[in-house]
Amino acid sequence: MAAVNTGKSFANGEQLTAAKLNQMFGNSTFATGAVDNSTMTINSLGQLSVNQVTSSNIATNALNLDDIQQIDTNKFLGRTSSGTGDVESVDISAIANLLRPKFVTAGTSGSTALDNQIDSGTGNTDYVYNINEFTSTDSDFGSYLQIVAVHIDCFAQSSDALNQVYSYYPDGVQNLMCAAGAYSTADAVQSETNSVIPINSSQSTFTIRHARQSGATSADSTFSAIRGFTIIPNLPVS
Amino acid sequence: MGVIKSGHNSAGFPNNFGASDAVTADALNDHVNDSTFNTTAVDDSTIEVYDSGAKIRLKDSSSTTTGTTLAKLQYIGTNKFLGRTSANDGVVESVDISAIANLLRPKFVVGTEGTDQGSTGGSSGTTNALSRALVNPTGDTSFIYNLADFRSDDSDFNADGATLGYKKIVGIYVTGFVQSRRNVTFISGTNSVDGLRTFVKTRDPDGSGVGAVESQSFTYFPVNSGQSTFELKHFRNTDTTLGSLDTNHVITGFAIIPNLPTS
Repeated sequence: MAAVNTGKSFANGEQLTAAKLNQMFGNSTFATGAVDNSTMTINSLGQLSVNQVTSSNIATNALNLDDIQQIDTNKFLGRTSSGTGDVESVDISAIANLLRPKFVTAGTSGSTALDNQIDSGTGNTDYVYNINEFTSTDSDFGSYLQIVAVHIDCFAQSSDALNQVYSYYPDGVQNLMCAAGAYSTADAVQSETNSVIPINSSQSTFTIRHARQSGATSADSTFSAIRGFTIIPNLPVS
Repeated sequence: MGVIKSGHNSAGFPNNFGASDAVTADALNDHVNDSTFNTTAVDDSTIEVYDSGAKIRLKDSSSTTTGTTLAKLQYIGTNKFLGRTSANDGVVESVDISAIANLLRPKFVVGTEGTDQGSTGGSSGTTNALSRALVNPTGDTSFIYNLADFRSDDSDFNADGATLGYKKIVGIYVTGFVQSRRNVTFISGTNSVDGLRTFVKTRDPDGSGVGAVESQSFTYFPVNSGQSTFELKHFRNTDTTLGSLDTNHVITGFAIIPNLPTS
């Protein structure tokens, strides 16, 4: 079947005129067989129109980004509505919300206690945490892999020595979180801080060190407590 | 008007036979062989006629309702986005938000270099200028760092060139140490937006000048887009007759987002 229907069908013996010849195309229409009625269709006005685009009826890589409907500034193609469905134009604010960090309270201790206090003695004491033992009861906490920072309360007291609490950055560089030093028994000082220590991807351990200088008395306490974590809830959990 | 235009052109009658035109073999052949699509042959929304009617093609989108609308794309799941995380150029993929989160995850990198502070305020410290200490001078001393001078050996910091990595910095980690023999001594940090914020302070409680007290702390200063400098200021309100007084700071490293643009 031809793709086009003539606009003028001639009868045998009919007089040929310019007007009739012009009508052949001038009044022509597309034949229904001119399109596959899958990717292309003929609309109610007799015009060619794109019908449906699926992987089976359009050539691979044939659709350019220019061909997709326009979207506004800082919109992205994706889907935030529940379930599987149409692609949506998603505002960057919705994406930012999906990536927003969240503080979650630390759960139970793993092999190393979350709270540690030393009231006497000198020297260094390290508390090494396996990050994969960190937990939280927060509903958004799916895995330690979501942790991007650890929140720590520290306290140091000194009456005649320098007492410090350290943590370590992801690369192992020592980081002083809290310290108190007094070099006269007349000076008794305390210091307390809250620190947020970054956790890098693939980091496996995290260490807190209590460093108690020689001369520290029984009254000089050092204390550290892991209070919680900053997580990005939508980070992958595996 | 028909969907096809005649390929025959008569004087004064383009794409038509004139009333006095002779019907010749050439004219009839041109009538068909040179025929073109009329603009009315298509909806001019999803597809268009171009090349003077010789061809039809998918029309580029010109609005939020033209071209291939989103409804015509394949379904995707919740919190999936169209993009590509596989290596090299290739087909658009449905990317889970978790993969995007991973691409935007902050990273701590060790600082190796900053703005040379010279002997500002009689300071001393490492040659990379990230660590500076004051011992004897009194009064307030500012150490101003140009963000563009910050360096790190981390490969993610240097992925676009060592001199450009600073553009990925979103925060600065600083350790401070202060001593007091009588008066308040402290260190503050500032950025271009938020003013001075004290992060370590101490004061000898008895003020006798006998002995000294000291305090150390560390903090994180956020860095905003467009910010060009970062200042650390030592406030030393001491009585120098009581002996030396130490204050120092160390910029230990930076929080970067490796995939932030550097241009």
